[in-house]
Amino acid sequence: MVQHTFPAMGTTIEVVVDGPTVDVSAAEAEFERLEAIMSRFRPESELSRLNREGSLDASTELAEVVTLALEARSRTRGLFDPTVHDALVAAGYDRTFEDLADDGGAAGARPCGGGVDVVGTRITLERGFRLDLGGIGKGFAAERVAELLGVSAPTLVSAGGDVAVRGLPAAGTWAVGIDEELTLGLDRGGVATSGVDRRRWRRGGLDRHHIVDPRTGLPAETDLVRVTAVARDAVEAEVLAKELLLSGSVEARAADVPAVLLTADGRMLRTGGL
Amino acid sequence: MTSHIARLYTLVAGILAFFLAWAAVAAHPWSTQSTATQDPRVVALVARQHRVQLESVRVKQIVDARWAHYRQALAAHNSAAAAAVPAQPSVRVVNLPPLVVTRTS
Repeated sequence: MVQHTFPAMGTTIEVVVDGPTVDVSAAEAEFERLEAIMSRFRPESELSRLNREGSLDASTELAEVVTLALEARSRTRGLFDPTVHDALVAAGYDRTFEDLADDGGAAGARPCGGGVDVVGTRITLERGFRLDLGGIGKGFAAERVAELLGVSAPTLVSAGGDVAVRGLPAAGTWAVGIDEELTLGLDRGGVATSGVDRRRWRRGGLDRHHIVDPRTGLPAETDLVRVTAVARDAVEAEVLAKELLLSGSVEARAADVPAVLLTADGRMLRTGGL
Repeated sequence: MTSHIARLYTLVAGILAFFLAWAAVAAHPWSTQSTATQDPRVVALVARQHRVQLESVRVKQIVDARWAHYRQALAAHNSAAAAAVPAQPSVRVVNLPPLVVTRTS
């Protein structure tokens, strides 16, 4: 079994291939290619150009991710929203997480739910709105690379916790740790975690984090600290995890989808048959 | 006077007849078209033009056939993709050491 770790998309990428001779360098190249398209922190990326110019003839990948994000927004009734860019920046997340200062000026709310039009590969943004594809982009990239390597051997790709798998390893399942006490065996599908317990900083003396609630335009306030969701693929799992986190524990439990919820008072709840 | 005008007309008619005869001779009416095409370079060019025309017809037929085949395969692929329902996830709690740990990305 080959395990390979490298940094990309502001996080750590882990590639596990259950085969002795698979060249995993293609994984790094693909992540680099997709980051060059979807990063909001690279001024020359396609996403940055779109955010600057408001309209762009994009690559098929960017158009596809934006389309997936818009479908997710519709499916989650706006809880997942790619137009949270300005709210994130206003909250202080205006550069890569590693470069964030410890504290800064007070953060204000910014409206979300802006119009996004995708016709073919032409993307047009409503004036005053910009896109952030951080979470869904990692899930998309994990799926892409799993598809790429999965043709050669059973493969798991984790993009900072967004997990995509193809095939089954000799062990019979892919063991994905949720925390020290709980491990899930994933045969098929994707896993993703969304939480307010990491990627935190301070602004105006207040703790801030990277999960924006599009309903308020501010970092979310929820009785859940972290949600790990399982879905048909990593993109869907990423969307579901964020939706459950923002919904709160009552609605998340009622949804009864395969998920592990960590509440603010330290309880771990399993739903959807886990 | 009358004789003078007659001579003048005769002279003009003579000059006109001379130039008409010159033009007729210069046109080489005895030279046939086939003589011109007998030039081997022209013959080769005409043959090549004919060959290229035939080849272009054959290439167009091949491209049309391949394009039709591609469109047919694309339509079949698209309908198969539209009909395919992604498999539901399969997951359970296990007692194995984790290969990776998921956390907020």
